[in-house]
Amino acid sequence: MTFIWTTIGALLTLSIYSFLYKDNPFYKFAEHLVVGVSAGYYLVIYYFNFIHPNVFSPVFLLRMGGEPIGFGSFLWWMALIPGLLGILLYARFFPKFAWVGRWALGVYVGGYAGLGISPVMQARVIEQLRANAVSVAGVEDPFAAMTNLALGVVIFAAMTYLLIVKRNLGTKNLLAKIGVLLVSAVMGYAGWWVLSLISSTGVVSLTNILLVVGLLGTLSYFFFSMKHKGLLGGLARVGIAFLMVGFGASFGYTVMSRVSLLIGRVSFLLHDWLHLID
Amino acid sequence: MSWAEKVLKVDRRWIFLAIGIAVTIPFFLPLGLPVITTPPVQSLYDAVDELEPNAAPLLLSIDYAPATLPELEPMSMAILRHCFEKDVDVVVMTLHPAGYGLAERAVLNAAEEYDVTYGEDFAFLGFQPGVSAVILGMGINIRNVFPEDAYGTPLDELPLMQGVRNYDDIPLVISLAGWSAAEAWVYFAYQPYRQTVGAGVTAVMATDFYPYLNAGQLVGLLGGMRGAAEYEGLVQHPDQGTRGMDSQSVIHLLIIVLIAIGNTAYFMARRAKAPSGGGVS
Repeated sequence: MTFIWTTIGALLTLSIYSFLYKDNPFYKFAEHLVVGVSAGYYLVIYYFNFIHPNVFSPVFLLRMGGEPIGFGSFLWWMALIPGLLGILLYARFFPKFAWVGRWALGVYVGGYAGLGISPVMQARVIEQLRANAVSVAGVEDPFAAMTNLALGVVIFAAMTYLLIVKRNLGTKNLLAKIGVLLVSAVMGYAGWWVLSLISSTGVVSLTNILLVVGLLGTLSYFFFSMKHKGLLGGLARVGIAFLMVGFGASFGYTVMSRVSLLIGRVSFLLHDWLHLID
Repeated sequence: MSWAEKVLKVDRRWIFLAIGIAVTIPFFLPLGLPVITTPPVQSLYDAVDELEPNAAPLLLSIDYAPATLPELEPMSMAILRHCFEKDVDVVVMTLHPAGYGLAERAVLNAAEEYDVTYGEDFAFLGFQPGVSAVILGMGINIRNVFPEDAYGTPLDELPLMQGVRNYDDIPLVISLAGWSAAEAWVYFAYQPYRQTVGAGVTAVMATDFYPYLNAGQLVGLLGGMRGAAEYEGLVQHPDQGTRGMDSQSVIHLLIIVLIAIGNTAYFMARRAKAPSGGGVS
């Protein structure tokens, strides 16, 4: 029996992927089947997990959570009123009475806003502001310290190369270029070391500096009340660089996510259906 | 037609075919590339590992649908195996209507591999709609939201749930979600109740969750199939996540090569088409 269901699943998978070649009746059949089965599945799940225990059972069978409740009691009204509000939402099918549905929608929107505004503000604004109030001096975690060292060397090396070495030692000779890069790396390490000496703990947290610079730069980019010139323009350009890094990371993760879905289906075909792999 | 123009006009179905082949071959010829554990995954593993055996249960909210199964099911299996291996009690629930069958399948499949008993070592509460109301309600009393388990047994009759009233009695919540449910656990469980929350999300969502991780609102994070593979490595039980990682690496390499070829061809074709700069005759 399992093999029959697995085979049906495999054939539907192949039908869906056949769209990659071109649109065809097998794809259309599988697509419509997904929509139909999903609608039926959701209806049953919502009825038996929500409507029956929370509305039908208390209002008509006078039972809630396995316990009897009284007709006209507080719990009975608390099941009936939301149930009626839910039914009102369907008034939009009758244009003359469509406005009645707004009562239910008003309760729904108001309730959700009341529940959501405070925690969402806390989570997305207050906590994030707190997390960005970071010290730029000192890291205890050895992994973070190593990351800082690597980042420091790269950043200072790049700055040294672009601002000083390239102008004075600019050359087309390959060996000289390698020499310039080595000098840049040494200067980079020296720059990081000097900053570390200045800081109270002897270590500069460059990841934290990057975090603060990235935050200010990105916020500057989205500040539209002044022209992006001068300091604001410079900060906005830094912000664009951070945004690009962010978009790049998102793109990489998106590719990984979509490929994972394909891997899952191929694994299903080869492992669960054909038993070709362990 | 130049080489670059031919590349730019290649039928995209050849690329689909190349991707299909690149995914399939590593299943037959595994490369065995190492999967290195990243700090967010290690943090979540440590949080589960530190839970007391046969004490307050972990709440695992399996909030995914079939569309995100390949990324999130390996996570749920790895976490459940970790818990059962260490005798940590688990309460499973779902906030997604399509997650009901998937959550039940995951917990029963994992339970089959260990000597665990329903009601004593694990329980399945089923599905309740109304994400924010459910999470907030559970902070007051779980029985208000889930008076019974998924099979109609009142929670008080489950030995595992005796003494478990609200988040005060749950040391860790983990949400595995392919939508905003994991964020909802941060909003409505961490913020008002300071409940320790961990998350496993699809790779496409992972970048959105790093701010929560950085701010300490999440104790750990699994991102996509790679996160699952890392967790499988930590529990020393390689399974679906690990199996797919070789294909993942090969595909990424192929996509990088295709991007490089496509961009090179684009700029070469543009240069060839550009006017050759005429002077005044």
